[in-house]
Parts: sequence; C-alpha cells; structure tokens
Amino acid sequence: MNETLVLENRSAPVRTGTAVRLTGVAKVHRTDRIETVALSEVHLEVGEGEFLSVMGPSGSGKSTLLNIVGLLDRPTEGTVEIAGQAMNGLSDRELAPLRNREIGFVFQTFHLIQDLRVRDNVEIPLLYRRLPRGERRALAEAALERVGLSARMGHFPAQLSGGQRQRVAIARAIVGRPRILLADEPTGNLDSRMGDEIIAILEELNREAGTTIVMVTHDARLAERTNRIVRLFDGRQVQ
Amino acid sequence: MIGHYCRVVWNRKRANALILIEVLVSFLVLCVVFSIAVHYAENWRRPLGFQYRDLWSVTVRIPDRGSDPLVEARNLETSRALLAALRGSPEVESATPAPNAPYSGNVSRSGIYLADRKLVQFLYTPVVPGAIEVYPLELVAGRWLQPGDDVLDYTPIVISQNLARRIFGREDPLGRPIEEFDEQGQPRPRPEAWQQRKVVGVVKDFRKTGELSDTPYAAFVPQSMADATRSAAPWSYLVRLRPGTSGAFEESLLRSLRSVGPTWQFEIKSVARMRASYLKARLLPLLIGATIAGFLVLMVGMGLLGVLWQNVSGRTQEIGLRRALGATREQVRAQILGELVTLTLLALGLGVVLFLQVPLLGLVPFVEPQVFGLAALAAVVAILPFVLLCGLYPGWLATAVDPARALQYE
Repeated sequence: MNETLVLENRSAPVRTGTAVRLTGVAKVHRTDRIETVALSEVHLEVGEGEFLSVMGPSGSGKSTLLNIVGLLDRPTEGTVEIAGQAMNGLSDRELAPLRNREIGFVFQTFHLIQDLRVRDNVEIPLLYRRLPRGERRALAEAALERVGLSARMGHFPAQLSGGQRQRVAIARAIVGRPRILLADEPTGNLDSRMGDEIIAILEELNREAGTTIVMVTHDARLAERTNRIVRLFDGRQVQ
Repeated sequence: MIGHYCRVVWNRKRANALILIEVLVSFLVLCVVFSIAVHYAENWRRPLGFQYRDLWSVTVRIPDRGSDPLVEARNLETSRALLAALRGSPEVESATPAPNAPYSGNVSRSGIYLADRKLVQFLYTPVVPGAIEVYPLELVAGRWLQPGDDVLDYTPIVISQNLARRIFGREDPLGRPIEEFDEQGQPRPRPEAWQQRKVVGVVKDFRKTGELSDTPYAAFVPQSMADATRSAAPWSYLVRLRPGTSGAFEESLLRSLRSVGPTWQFEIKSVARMRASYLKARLLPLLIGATIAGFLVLMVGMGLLGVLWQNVSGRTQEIGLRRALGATREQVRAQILGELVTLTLLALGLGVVLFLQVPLLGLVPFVEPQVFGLAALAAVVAILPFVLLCGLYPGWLATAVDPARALQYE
C-alpha cells in the first residue's frame, strides 16, 4: 500500500482486512494513431469498511480507476485484488459473479431501466443469482425500505425525482449485500440538498453495514465527509 | 427469468410493436407461400386414377355435324367403324370415345343442385364399356358400364369416390338415383325417364385435370354408339397402346382412320407429351410466383434483421448495466434471445389465430383445411430459428462492447 495516502477523516471504522488492493496499476488506451495514458503507477489499498473518496479534475482517470476496481475494465499493467483474491487473468465468466456478489455500483446518471418498475430495477442483480422470485422480491423490498422508497416500488423511474432515482440506484447496488460499493459521482446530477441525502445514506451503509465505499466526486465538501481522499491528476496518484 | 422477459417485453410494448408487426407480417407471408406449396405438393402426391403412358388422344373434326337426324345417324355409324378400326390395330390394346383427353386443358362438366341447394359440378364423361381398360380405372364398388347400358330405361352412372361421398355421405350409393333439385331446393326430375341417373358403380378418384389440380368430382355414363337421339357422334377418343409401341405407329393409325372417314380430320397426340406441355405451362407461373415469394420472404427477413439490430443497439447502455451488475455475456445474449422468443411466440400466436380464420371462414374453399394447418406449422418452424438467427448477431455485437464503454454509450 502507498503510505503517502492521507487519512483526512479520523472517524474511520476499525479495519479488519483489505477490500481492494491495486498494485502498480496502469491503463493505456491505444488506437492506431494515438496512445492515451489514463492511469499510471497507481498503488491503492482500501480497507474493509472504509469510506474512500477519489477526487481529481476531469480526465484525471477517476472513472477509469473505478472501472478497474469494479472489474468493468482491465488494467494494462499491475494487479488488482479484491478481498485478497487476484483478479488478473480471470475470464469474463469468472469476473461476472464476482461483480455480482462483491461489488455494487452507483452511477452519476443512475442507469435505471426506464421500462421497468422501481422494484424490478432493484431486483436485477438478483436475477443473476438464480434466487426464487419470492426471495428476490423480499430482498428488493427490504433494500428499497432501507433507502426510504417503500412507497415508490410500483413506480417507473420517470415518475421519480432525481434524488429518488439515485436512491433506487443505491437500493439496487446494495440489494445483493456486496462487500464494496463503488459510486461514480453519485451526487453529480443532484442539487446540494438531495446530494446530502444521498451521502447520508452512503454514510449510514458504511457505518451500519460496514460496506466499503469508494466514491468518485468533484465536491470537496462531500469528500471531506469520507474517511480518506485519494487525489488523481493526469492519471497519476498525487495524494 | 421468464417472468422478467415477459415483463420487459410487456413494458416495452410500444418499442416492441415494430418487431411484433414485422414477425407477424413475415409469418403471414410464409403462411401464404407454404399454403400454396403444401397445396400443390398434396395434389402432386395423390394418385391420378389413370395412366398417361402409352395413351394417345385422337381428336376428330366432323365437317357436316348438324341437327339433321339422318346426318347424325350417319356420323354415328362412321364413329362405330372408327372405333372398330382403332381396336382392330394390333398395336392397340383398347380404345374408347372420351370427350377431352387428360391434360388437354378442356373438360366437360355437368352441374346439379342437391337438396342442400349447393351446386355440385363434376366431370361428365360418356364412354363405352371398354373405357375401364383404356384409362385404366379402378372399380371400388358395384360394376362398370356394360353393353346394353345405353338402351336401358334409365342412365346407369359410375361415379368417383369423392362424388359418392359428396352426394350420399356415408350411405351406400349403389342402386341409388341421383336426385336433382332446383336452386330453391325443390325436386326437379329429368324430362325423360331414361335420363334419370342411377349409380351402378364407384371408381377411385379420377384426376383427369392433372397432378397440379385439385381432385375433381367425376362421373362416367354410357356413350351410345347406335342411337343418335341419345348420344351425338363422339369427337374425341382415347387409345391405349401396347407397351413399346413406337411413335411411327401414328402415321399408320392416321392412314387407317382416314380410310374410315375420308372427309373427317384427325389429330393424334401422345397424352405423355400433352402432360409435359401442361406441366411446363403450369409450373412456369408457379416458379415465377415462388421466386417472387422467395424475394418477398428475403425482404421481410432483412427488415426483421434491421429492426432487431436497431432494437438491440438501442439497448447497449442497458446491456452494459446488466453486465456491471453481474450478468455474463452469455446471460445477456440469453436475455436478448429470450425476449425475442417471447415476442415472436406472441406474434406467431396472433398470426396463427388470424391465419386459421381462412379455413374456418371457408375463404378458400377449394383448398383443404388441413393444408392451412400444415402451412401454419411449417411457417412457425421456419420463422422461429430465423428470428433467433436474426437476433444472434446483434446480440453478439452488443455484448462484444466492454461494459465500461457500453455504460457510456449514448
């Protein structure tokens, strides 16, 4: 682990192990003519139960970093470990169940399926676990209750406000009880009041369920509420 | 998971309407094409009821045909001599007067109204007793026409099995008169007692109109060669040749016929050659129709492929999301195909209900109802793998994109 990382918030929960470990990670996007370095020499260790924020200007590699941690993208160089297991060399068929069980995603643009009701959207990760329908439904309803949207289960996303949509996205991310929650600018499309609500939910998840959270944000005020901040610039880890 | 497919399909009913219509149109086009194909294949498969090989048609042109009974009597006498000359040749097995040879494209029909006020038309063929060997026909009940039948006080008639079923249903037709009615369902007896037809025999179905046509109703009645008041001089004969008779016999037969009727004109044709011309004339439009139908199906298929492609491409972001949430490529492809199958089954169900109205409402009465059932089944069997095939490639393309890129897809 890179020891230069700064823990800016001293209220972090007690760490019992490493949730994510990136060692010497680099990501280069190559086309016929140009080569773009998105990440270079990133060393990062995220402890279990930690709430970490990643900051940096646009194009600094924050989302790329999150995609690599979330097993949506593969590094050009370096190694990725999730809960002590090396991810390099695993096939798509092996990575998919890991994404399903270990990782939950919250996106800036929510990525809800507009043609599915709220409850059906939240159930999606459970579809790939072959759970009985009743169990899926119960888990989805519990997740929605947790984010305060029990009354909106039968609505379609278009019938909800931005904050409500993001809460649905959080419910979908936590419905499978993942070890790690990755949030890519979860408040980017929300006003400050709704943003605060969302961060409060994430904090509660981190505090009460011990979920490890890695959040990409531009908002320094929100980042300060997390245990630790990692700063990126031009694909390099600067803090 | 099936419930999820159904929910997605139902909730996207507007977006899916285009695919549903495309599949429905493809299905109906295929149903029509297959109905025609099955109809002709079924017709081709059925026995003809006669043999066209070694069979010749002799057409006679009688110059002084008219209403003068003396002339008609003289013509009938010449016809008797002509039939004797035909039968006298060692190359000829048997011969009969018979109007309109098979495959000639012409038929003589008689129509009667039954008690149910439905008009039944049948091929009406006056022949002499030897005709059963000329075609040859297969007797299934009763007897064939015999000498003396042309002078009875009724007209003995031999009918085909399908005509017997149509008129008498399951009852035994032998010895039964064929009762005729007018359009209002009132009995209409024949003016002369000897014209009353009575069934004496039943033969297997007789498909004089050829392999591609439906099975017509058929009836054979005695051709009088003695009484001009009952039958006019026949103008057409069928000649059954001994196997192996060469085409050169035509010249010698013609000479023999001219010696009997020097003022009459004769035309001799091989029924096998007439069949070849008939098939050529009938198959060419069918081939053209099949080619057009093939192109139509191809165009519909291309349209379907385009619509599916557009539909799947429009879901790239959703596909990225599903993969981020833990679906493998195979699961995403299975979902795309599962939804497609759900949608296709819906369209096919609708199509089957629509298409089966054709036989149920009797819109095409000359085609047997089971043909439509078979065609619908064939269309279902053809369209399902086709639709799956159309969905495979767009599905494969959609899952080939990395989930991280797919999520950013606009």
